[in-house]
Amino acid sequence: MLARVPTVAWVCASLAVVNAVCWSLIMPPFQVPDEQDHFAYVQQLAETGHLPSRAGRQYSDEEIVALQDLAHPRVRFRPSGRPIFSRAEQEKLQSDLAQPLPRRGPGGAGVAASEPPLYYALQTIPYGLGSKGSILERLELMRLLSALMGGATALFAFLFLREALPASRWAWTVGGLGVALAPLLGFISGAVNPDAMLIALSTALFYCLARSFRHGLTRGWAVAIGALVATGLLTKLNFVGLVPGALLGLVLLARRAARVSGARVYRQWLLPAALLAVSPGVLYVLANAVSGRSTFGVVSTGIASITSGHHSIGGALSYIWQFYLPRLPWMHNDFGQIFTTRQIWFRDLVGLYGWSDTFFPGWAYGAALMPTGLITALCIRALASGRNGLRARGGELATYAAMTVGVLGLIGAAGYHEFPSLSAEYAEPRYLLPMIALWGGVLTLAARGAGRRWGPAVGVLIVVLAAGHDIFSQLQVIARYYG
Amino acid sequence: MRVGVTLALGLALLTAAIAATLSGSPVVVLRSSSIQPAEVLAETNGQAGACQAGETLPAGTSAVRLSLQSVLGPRVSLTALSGSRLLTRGVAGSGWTGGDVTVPVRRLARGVPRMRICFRLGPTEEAVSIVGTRTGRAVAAASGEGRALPGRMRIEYLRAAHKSWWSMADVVARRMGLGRAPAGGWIAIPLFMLMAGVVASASWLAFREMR
Repeated sequence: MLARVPTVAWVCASLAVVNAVCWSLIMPPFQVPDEQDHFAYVQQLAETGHLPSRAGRQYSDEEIVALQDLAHPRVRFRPSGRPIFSRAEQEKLQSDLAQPLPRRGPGGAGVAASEPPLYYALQTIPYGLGSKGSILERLELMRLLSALMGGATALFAFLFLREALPASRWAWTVGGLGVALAPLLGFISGAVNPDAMLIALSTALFYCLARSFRHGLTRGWAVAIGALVATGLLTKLNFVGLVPGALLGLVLLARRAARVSGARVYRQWLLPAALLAVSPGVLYVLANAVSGRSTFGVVSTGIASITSGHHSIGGALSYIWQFYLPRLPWMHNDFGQIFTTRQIWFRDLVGLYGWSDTFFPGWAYGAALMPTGLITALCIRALASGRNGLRARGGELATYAAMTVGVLGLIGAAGYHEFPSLSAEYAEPRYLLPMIALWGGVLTLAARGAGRRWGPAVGVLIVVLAAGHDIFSQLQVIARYYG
Repeated sequence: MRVGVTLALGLALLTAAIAATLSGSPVVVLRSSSIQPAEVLAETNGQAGACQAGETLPAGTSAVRLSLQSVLGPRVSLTALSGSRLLTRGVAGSGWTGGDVTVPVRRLARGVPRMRICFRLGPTEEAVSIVGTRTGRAVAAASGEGRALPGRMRIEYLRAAHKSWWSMADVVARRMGLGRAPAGGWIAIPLFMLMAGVVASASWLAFREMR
């Protein structure tokens, strides 16, 4: 498969890696959401061989000293907070980190403690390579591994476009570069965060499904899809949102393949793939049952929280709808005067970094409406002109839609769990990045929608716009932390 | 030809926009109430407000930053008063997030001592925390109903600096090299070169594939 990957895709992947490396150099240590918890998880695994035993913020002495000396509490969440600026602070940091501080702690890893271990296990490799260096050197090496995952995302995004939009050969580059230069991808892939691997795996999943829908399912591709789902579930719990859509895609593909190869497809292709896909979930249930915990673990807790107290299924559906879209007339107003579509999601996708404390001046979000509107209009134009072909691909589109709805529903449900004490606790744009392949599709279609004459010129403009968005995001972050 | 011209124009516009941005000025803190945002003084669910007396409004203030905390903040209306005389006012729209909110205000040519900062929150479903430090009752901030809060909140007065980002390049580079690995202000140079390479490569690739 790799031998047939075009050079353009490798260039997109390389640019994504370099971009993420730049982001890793710009973002101060532990100023990406939950990075201190993810680092603690890796350290616990690398130093003791055991998973974190508790969810509290009980880190190793080494990490605690580093966070204190980096002034972490005064910086995060506070747009006015600045990291260390003086030589005295730097000397204190270096002096303290040069001490033989214990790297084993009580085993806490904050919000990361409940996450599956695969990403963290991989991160023990750069952690080990930097074991003779300081905590900051190990952190940077670990960030570089995440940057490689960002490259994988751009690679699979390009390959997805090649399969999903085969008639737009010249425009694949627009979507591929648009993904590679996406500042949010650089921001997350330039940090120690399992989202970096989650995004790469979900993009690979989109690619495998697109390829199978175009060329037909084979046993190998069915197993690949199942393996990707299993790997995703072992990477981050959020991957659960993609699973129903992925299984729907497998079933639709198997039905189509069965018309050619017979009913054995269900037994020999679909069943092994589906079993492989859900195997981590089965292991999780068994582990809980054996250890005496609630059999369905976090799922049971989640369902109980939705149906208890002020919460209800109807309330959850209403809240989740309003989490993304304007309220419908019969719904209780859960967000006051906030227009969530624009004031949360559009705004945050245009630019929200750090611990949700780094953003553009207000006028920039208004200015971003125009290019966004133009891209949307051109994309719709391209879809409209190809609507006859869309009908034939209903199953494939339903699969992508189901994956998207699954992720959006999961994030919304998590937000409802905290409601009403917190209106939009999980309204973070990084949670939408598993669908970044579809964003590449939007950009590709927008270039195509400009027509044969102007399409390439519009495509080039979209690439320049993506580069500009990335650069200005980096400049805004530099201004916030170092200005 | 069309692709090449479009690319050249696009890159020229991008370069001009970057140059213009860097010719602008950073925001500096003229004065602060010297209160650390150490603890939550009060929580409110919107349609509430508070006032804090004993403040000094520096000359040239163009924005006021309040230590309010929220995940999805409501609209914040701010007034600066000397007795009953309105000095300046401003509004920050809803949807802000984080540990403080910056309210742009009409600039005043002269500074004013011993004035009062008042703010009022718009409606919201979510709690907004007023963050500050505990103080004596006599100097504490007061709620909109006149009830004394447990302490004072942090208030900062901001304006644009009298220097450009260009002139601060070496300072910014030095700061970027602190508290990290690899350490040293030199890190800004390879960073700049890498990003320039990314933009150049992306442009070349786009031109090659679309001409």
